[in-house]
Amino acid sequence: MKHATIGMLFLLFVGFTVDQAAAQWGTVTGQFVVKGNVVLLKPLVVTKDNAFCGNQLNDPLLTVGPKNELQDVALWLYLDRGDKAPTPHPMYAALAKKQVDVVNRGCLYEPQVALAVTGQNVKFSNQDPIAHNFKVEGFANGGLNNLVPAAGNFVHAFNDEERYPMNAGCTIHPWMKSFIVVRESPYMAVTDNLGNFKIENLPVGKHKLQIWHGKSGVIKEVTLGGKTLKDRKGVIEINVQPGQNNLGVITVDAAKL
Amino acid sequence: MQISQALAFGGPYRAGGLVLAVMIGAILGCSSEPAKFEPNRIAMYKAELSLGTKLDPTYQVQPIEKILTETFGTPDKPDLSLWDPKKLVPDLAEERADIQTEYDEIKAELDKALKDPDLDPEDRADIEADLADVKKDLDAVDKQIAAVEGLVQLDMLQMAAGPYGSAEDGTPRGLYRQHCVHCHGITGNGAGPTAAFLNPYPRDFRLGKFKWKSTTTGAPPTHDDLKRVITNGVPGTAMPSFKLLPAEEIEALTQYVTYLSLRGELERNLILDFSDIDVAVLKPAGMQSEEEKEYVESLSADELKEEQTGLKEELAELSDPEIFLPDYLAPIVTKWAFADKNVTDVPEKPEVVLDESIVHGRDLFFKKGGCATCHGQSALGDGQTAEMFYDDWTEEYYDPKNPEHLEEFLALGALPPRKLQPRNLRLGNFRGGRRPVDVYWRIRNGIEGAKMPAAQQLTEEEIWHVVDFVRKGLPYDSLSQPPEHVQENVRVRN
Ligand code: HEC
Ligand code: HEC
Repeated sequence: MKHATIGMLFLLFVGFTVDQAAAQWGTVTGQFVVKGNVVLLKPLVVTKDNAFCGNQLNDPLLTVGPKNELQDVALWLYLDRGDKAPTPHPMYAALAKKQVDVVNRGCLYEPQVALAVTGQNVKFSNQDPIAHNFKVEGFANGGLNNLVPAAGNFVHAFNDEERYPMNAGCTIHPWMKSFIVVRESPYMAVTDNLGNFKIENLPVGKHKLQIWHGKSGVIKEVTLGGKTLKDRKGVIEINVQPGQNNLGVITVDAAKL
Repeated sequence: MQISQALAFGGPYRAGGLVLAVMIGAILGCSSEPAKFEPNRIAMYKAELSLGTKLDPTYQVQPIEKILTETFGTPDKPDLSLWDPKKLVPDLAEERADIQTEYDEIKAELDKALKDPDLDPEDRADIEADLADVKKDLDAVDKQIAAVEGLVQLDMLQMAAGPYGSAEDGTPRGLYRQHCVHCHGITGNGAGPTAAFLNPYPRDFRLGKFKWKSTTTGAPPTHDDLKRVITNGVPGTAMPSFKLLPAEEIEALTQYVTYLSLRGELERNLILDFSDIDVAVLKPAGMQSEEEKEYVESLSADELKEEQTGLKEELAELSDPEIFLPDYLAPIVTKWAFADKNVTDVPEKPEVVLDESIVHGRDLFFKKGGCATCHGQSALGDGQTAEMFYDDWTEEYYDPKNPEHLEEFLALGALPPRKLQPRNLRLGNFRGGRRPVDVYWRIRNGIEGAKMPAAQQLTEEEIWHVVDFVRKGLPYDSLSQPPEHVQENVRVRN
């Protein structure tokens, strides 16, 4: 939305090295950190299959590193209505053929937030000695709900882009919840256990990224380069230069999570 | 058991239900107020909670209602005048035109050739074969277009819609209000006046999700699926069988359920998209959240003006049939019109010795099938010990992990959440039909909305063993659970 981003418009001028090969492409990195006191979620209470799952599990919906680095923030290319996604860098053709893994292990999901492009194969596998099921619900894609016995798996491709991540859950063990981002454009990332993310080889120029976390939904306010950026849809605008573009630390207020 | 709510009427709960039903029927029948579809306040409130602000009545709520009325009409007067295949399935319409052109060309060629006295019979056969091929393509596209056009038809909807009565020529009117509304509600939200007393609750059609169908999870039911469920009812629930109605009336009701589902799905998608548009700059000051106020105040007069104009253009665009028909209605309609594509084929049941098949089936039920995790070690339906087991219709508004907004949703008409119960399979009751093929579909595809997963890990043969086990291999045990609902008697008019 044109009007919504004015408040958040942030043009990036960082030092960059011009690398001949990467003249038209830029890689964006950054790190999400929570500012303030992170209140961890109450442990998940296990009410079924306790012999294997235990009695309590840490809630993976909110995971932070030793210095409050925020894990599982997802970022994806945001397009205004009618805008076309840029043609991706050739490296993505091979990546789209790779399979995305979503695994049940220890009565939780790995990863908590998975990324897939439309049409990409997602392999759901169960590495636990008990049965689980993968119930995946989105908006654009029809839902699915498959039982996967101990050590079993199945493969599924989501063919339509989802505006927000799909919910994946196990209905046998209802505390198990995770997300799958399904986008047409491969320009997306999710932060690791130290809050770091990397989106490789964006075409040089201005782009919008939508920022999201499972706990908060879209992140409506972040601080970046000393500036507080607010947007109802969690969209920031960046100006990608050839080569490396490090956005640095992006802070999220603990109260906004 | 929650069922006792209904029994609180005294043993024959059915009497209570019927009295209420008749009363309501009378109220609806006599009222002179035109009936109205109710907006999906629950979905709107959900959007508001996630936005942290109210939807704007002028720029968000009303445009949605306007689009819905233009596309579907009202409960008294269904209207499909916008449903033009050229707009709904433009690709098909174009393809048809192209094939028609090709057909005409070949036809002309043939006509010309036939005038030639020296025509080689082989040439003639070639042209005719070409023509036949193209004709086949043409028929195939026509069939697809017909599926779209036939999904809901005005004359059928008119029989089901409106107040109960008959048209001048004697065709019935108001079948839905006569037979269904007290449970399913005028909007098909599953919250008719008697709904709160029933367990399970009547279906909310607006999610487009159905349990007793032949298609895979995530796909709409076929026309035949709906027809079957309306004809047979859902034994063991309050959903009556309408077997005694004439075929044409069942057809009308089937299309009307489809109509309400399509309408409900469109509404949900529109709510999602309209709420995604930030209308802060158009909202009256009193309606703005703090955040919105702050933002609007940060704009200069020119910026404000520019944003307002841009936003109004964007909203007008969304409200234009040229946009919302192909972008919003078409995907839903095509999904339904071609539901047949997602029907799960049922292979021939292999010849087996029943007892042996049951032994295999029992083993699969407890091991590879994972069935006992929900249905329990004795198949009494007591395996799911986990909390937070609610169906999809309930999870629309109720998040058992964060129940803090429940009261507000209840105030908006949501029904009190009830835990979902895996079925006690010893009652020998198959709500989705007791034919082997019905049970095959249940196990192969799971039960949509009710959390039962598809047994994708089992081979076709294994599924048949499990079918034998659940149909024939379990002891019948009527005492293992309080009696289930009696189906309501259907009063058929003569
Ligand atoms: C006495 C209440 C009652 C009446 C009257 C009633 N229904 Fe139902 N209906 C139900 C209940 C309860 C269910 C849910 C059954 C379940 O979940 O298994 C249901 C479910 C359905 C379903 C969904 C089946 C599925 O596969 O998920 C359809 C379609 C339906 N009803 C259509 C109708 C139509 C059409 C009428 C009128 C001709 C009607 N019903 C009248 C109570 C009623
Ligand atoms: C995640 C829990 C779960 C699992 C696993 C599960 N079910 Fe179910 N099942 C249910 C629930 C819940 C219902 C009741 C659905 C309803 O009526 O709304 C049900 C209903 C049924 C029914 C009744 C269908 C009808 O027509 O009334 C059958 C038969 C059945 N299950 C068989 C199985 C078999 C066989 C398996 C294993 C392959 C299985 N279930 C696995 C939850 C489960």
